[in-house]
Amino acid sequence: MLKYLAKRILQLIPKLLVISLIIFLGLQLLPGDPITRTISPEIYKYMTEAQMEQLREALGLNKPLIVQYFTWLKGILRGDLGYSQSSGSDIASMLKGRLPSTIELAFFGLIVANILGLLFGYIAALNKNSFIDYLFTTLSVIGISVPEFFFGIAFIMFFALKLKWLPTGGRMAAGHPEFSSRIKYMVLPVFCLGISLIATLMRFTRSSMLDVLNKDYIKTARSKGLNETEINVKHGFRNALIPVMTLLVFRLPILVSGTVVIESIFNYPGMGSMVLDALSAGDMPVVMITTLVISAVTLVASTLVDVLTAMLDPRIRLE
Amino acid sequence: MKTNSLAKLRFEKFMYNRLAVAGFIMMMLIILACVLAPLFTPYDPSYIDVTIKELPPSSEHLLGTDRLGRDILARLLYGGRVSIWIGLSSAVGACLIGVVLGCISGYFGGKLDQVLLYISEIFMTFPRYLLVLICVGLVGQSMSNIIFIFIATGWSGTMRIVRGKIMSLKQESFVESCLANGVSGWSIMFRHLLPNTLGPVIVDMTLSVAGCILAEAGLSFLGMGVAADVPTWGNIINAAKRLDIIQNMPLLWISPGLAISLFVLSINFFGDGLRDVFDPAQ
Repeated sequence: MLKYLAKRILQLIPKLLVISLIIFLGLQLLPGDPITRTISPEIYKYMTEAQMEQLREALGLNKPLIVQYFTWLKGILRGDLGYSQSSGSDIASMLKGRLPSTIELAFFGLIVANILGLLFGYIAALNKNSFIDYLFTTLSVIGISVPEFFFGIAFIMFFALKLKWLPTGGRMAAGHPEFSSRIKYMVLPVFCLGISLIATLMRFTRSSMLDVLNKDYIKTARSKGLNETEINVKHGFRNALIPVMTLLVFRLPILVSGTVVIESIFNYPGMGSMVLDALSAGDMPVVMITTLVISAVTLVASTLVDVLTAMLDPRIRLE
Repeated sequence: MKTNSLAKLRFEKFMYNRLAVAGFIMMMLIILACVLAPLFTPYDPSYIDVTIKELPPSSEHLLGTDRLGRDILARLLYGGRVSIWIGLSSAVGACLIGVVLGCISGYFGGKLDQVLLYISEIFMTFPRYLLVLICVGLVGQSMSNIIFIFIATGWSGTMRIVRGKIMSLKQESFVESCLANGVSGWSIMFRHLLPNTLGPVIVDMTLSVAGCILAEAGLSFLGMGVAADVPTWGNIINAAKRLDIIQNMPLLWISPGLAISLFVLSINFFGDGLRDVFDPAQ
């Protein structure tokens, strides 16, 4: 297991490097003097042309691109993410306020989607071709077909404006940052974010579970006289989970993409809305650096899911 | 004669799947309604007349008018043309690139395969929306740019499917016989191997039309898709970002929302039916 873990982490590093290289090259494509996004505009304002030239020399901005890349990367790793071009504040401190809220949203979306998706899939598979099965299967096709913003608007209309059960948006009531008061702000966004993942996981769990239940070892377990619940849960469900987890690795980036739309509908102050604001202001460095951070976090999370899968299935570790 | 009867068999199997047939019919009806838009509405979707703004539904304006007095039904039908066109052309374009790269990757293998596979993996680890947003920021908002971006970011799934298929087909004896007869590598790839992978590719393409339409709608909803003066399903819904509009003009967001949902739903049913026909093992 340790060896597998080390292998996965080693595979993670080149991927992170490639993504950072893409972002770096993207930043080079932007018009304007790169020095304006490397140092604080407070300092930049009072500098003479000679001082700037000196600074360029010191920052290595006259050196070849590849050298610049490594200097830039070193800065990123130290938390020096550069400066926004529209507001002039440094990107790292902008992210510090936003990153936790997006991670919170995505994390709970993931948890809710997993619990409901796996549960519905499991129930549908055990009741194959029954009314419940058809109901869940049809609902899941609707779940992947209806755009999440449509669900979002409909939920706001119904649960927030008509029934007034839940707030229409935001992250917390003014002056109440504690978690318990945030829960009701999270219900609608988390659920909207999760719907398409619930649907996908349900479909996949159902077919994977049906596949496993036909395997010989299920018959063996049954002939050993184990009770049905034990067979379904310990032998069936556990093995059915493995392909589902693999799917989850591919779906994670899609879930994260979804936060951009969801945050915009519910005025949720996360990274997604920050990217959108920066984009409308033409502030590309903020967009790109945020993308870099989100991609890195997603990649690490995917690796975690991979490791979790390997814990479920010893065969994967040996590959 | 043999292929003929196989096609007939598949057709019969498809017709037996009622949901898939219903999906196909619904899809065709929506496409027809959009293509023949002038027959259903006399209005110009972009004609602004503030004297008749925010009208409720009436016999003249079946779905009412929006904030600028434009007829919502006209915008819905003409907007459908743009949305469906973006979905179709992006899916076909991305699919073509995926097929070519998948063939090359699967047939030649080795270093080239590793590199192509790695690139596709990187594409899959990026949250696609953010990648699209960066591209929009770099090249600007327009219909052709959106299609270009969707093609550039959407080929990796097809590439993996084709690559896997080609790798297993490469072991078959008909490839060996082609080689013995001196058929060139490119000809084996595209004339002998590729046709055998088309089933799953067509299914994948159908479902990715749905994905592209959803992506365009989401992007336009955020105000980052096609320029705001071009009607698309997403652009119409974009107005529903304000709470007063959500509450007071439900038709403005329900009608395009339903149009997107119904169209994507019918494509998904159709695509699932195709999958059952082409790929019974799934």
